[in-house]
Amino acid sequence: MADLKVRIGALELKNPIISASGTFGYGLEFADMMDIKKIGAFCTKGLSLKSRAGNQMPRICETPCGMINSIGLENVGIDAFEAEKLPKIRQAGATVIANFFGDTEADYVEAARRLAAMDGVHALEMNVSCPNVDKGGIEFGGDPVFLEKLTAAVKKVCPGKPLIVKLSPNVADIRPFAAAVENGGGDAISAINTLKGMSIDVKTRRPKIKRVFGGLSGPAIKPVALKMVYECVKTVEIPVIGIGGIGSLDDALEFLIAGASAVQVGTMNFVEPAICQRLAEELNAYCDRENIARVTDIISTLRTD
Amino acid sequence: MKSNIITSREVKRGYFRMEFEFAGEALPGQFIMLKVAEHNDPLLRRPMSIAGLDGGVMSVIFKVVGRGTALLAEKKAGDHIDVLGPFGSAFTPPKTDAVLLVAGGIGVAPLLFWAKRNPSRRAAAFIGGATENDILCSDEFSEAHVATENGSVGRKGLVTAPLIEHAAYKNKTGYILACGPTGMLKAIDQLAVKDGLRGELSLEERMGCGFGVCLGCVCDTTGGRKRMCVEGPVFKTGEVLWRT
Repeated sequence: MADLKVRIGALELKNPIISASGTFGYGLEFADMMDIKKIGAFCTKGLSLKSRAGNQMPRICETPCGMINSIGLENVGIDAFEAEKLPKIRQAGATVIANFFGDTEADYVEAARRLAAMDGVHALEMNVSCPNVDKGGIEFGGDPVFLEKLTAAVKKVCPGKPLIVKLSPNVADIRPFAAAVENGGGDAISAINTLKGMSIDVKTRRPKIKRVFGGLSGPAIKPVALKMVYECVKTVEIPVIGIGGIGSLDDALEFLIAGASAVQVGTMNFVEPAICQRLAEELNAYCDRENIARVTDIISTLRTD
Repeated sequence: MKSNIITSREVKRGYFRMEFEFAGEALPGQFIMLKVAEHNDPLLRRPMSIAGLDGGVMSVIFKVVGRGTALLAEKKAGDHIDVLGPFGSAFTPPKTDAVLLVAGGIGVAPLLFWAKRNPSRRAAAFIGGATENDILCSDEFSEAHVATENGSVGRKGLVTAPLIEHAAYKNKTGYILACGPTGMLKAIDQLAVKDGLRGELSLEERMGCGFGVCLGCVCDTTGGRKRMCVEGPVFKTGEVLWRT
């Protein structure tokens, strides 16, 4: 049995396999299909102060080796999460990363303050791919100066729990954004969120997503994600969690070799609900087979000679 | 779960009926998610109504409409299929009511499952489609009324015509169970509400996961926004707020 433990700031995970926000509900949905205690952690559906109904249908479509979604951040809201979901999640023994977002900086700060105070929430993950209502709808994560300020403001209200900032790939260069998170006091980066995409039904000549654009995810985006994760790793000292199209042990290993301290599995949870548990088991078997004592020995071992 | 395919045959042009081993229970109205390819393209599973489950053998009926279902149609007896489920809500008609089963195209599948599970119940089936080729399984119901839009078999017109003429509909004692295209379900829903009949509709939608986490298949109802894969696919008549 290899040592699979990794650290994300002050949080120690039993292994580096995490299920990604928006693909794992509130964890409870998977209770009959896998053992949630066996994975490093799971990220909740993105939470906001008030519940949200999300966008109009259709809001998903399939694309080659992937899918586009425009769910619109539908969630039960922080109150219902605390009252109805969290007690059951705690009982299940899961390590919980609460993903959250807001429409304004004040909303972000208040959401983080509330979540950080909850027993059973082990870390926070901030989604900055949302339009800033106070700034004419520009994404919070679309301006490094603002991102640093937001990170600092949020970190102030969650000093005791790791703050992970989930970066958008829809920028010309991700490195200044990674630096902004580090400079703002963020404990870790997770990357990448979905890539903006579009798909058309040629029969009806309508967009396959009601809101025309959506976020592309799945195996199709893995090479793009891997490159951006590598760039983040080269830019900052804080841990980077790699996300994007992971569906096999080799996929996860690629991100670890590129320097990710942990990985998140997203879209593939839809196809294979127990995939995170399987990958954690396969990672252990791989380490044993390859005589790797600690999974951390794999991290940042890319050879470019 | 990897299952052995026992049979797969084209029952009508473009329509397939597949039977595979299934260790577990399921209720009429529920669905399963099938993986059509071993690799990542097509990526997502396909939701399928359960057409039958007896003695560890489950059956589904599907129409080839795209790449996913075309790949599924290539599978043969002895091949494996990856099955997840069952998921979703089931039909729950009151024990005493006569049941009016209304099907459009492959929507016949969950109604056939219900009829097979409830052989002693009074039930009449109304099976509609565009042409004779789209009428499936009508000989497997004890009482079946067929309607086609082009009149190639049964009555010419929509399936709602024989439905509203049936005695159990006219005297409002019938309880409707319907599955088919959205337009048909909406028409039946409006008729049932107008004429004071109760019933249930099984809705069809593309799904990302099938178990309530991708939130890709929601619909608005009188009780708020619901996931078709968890709170549905079976909803009560009068409950769905139709989009179009």
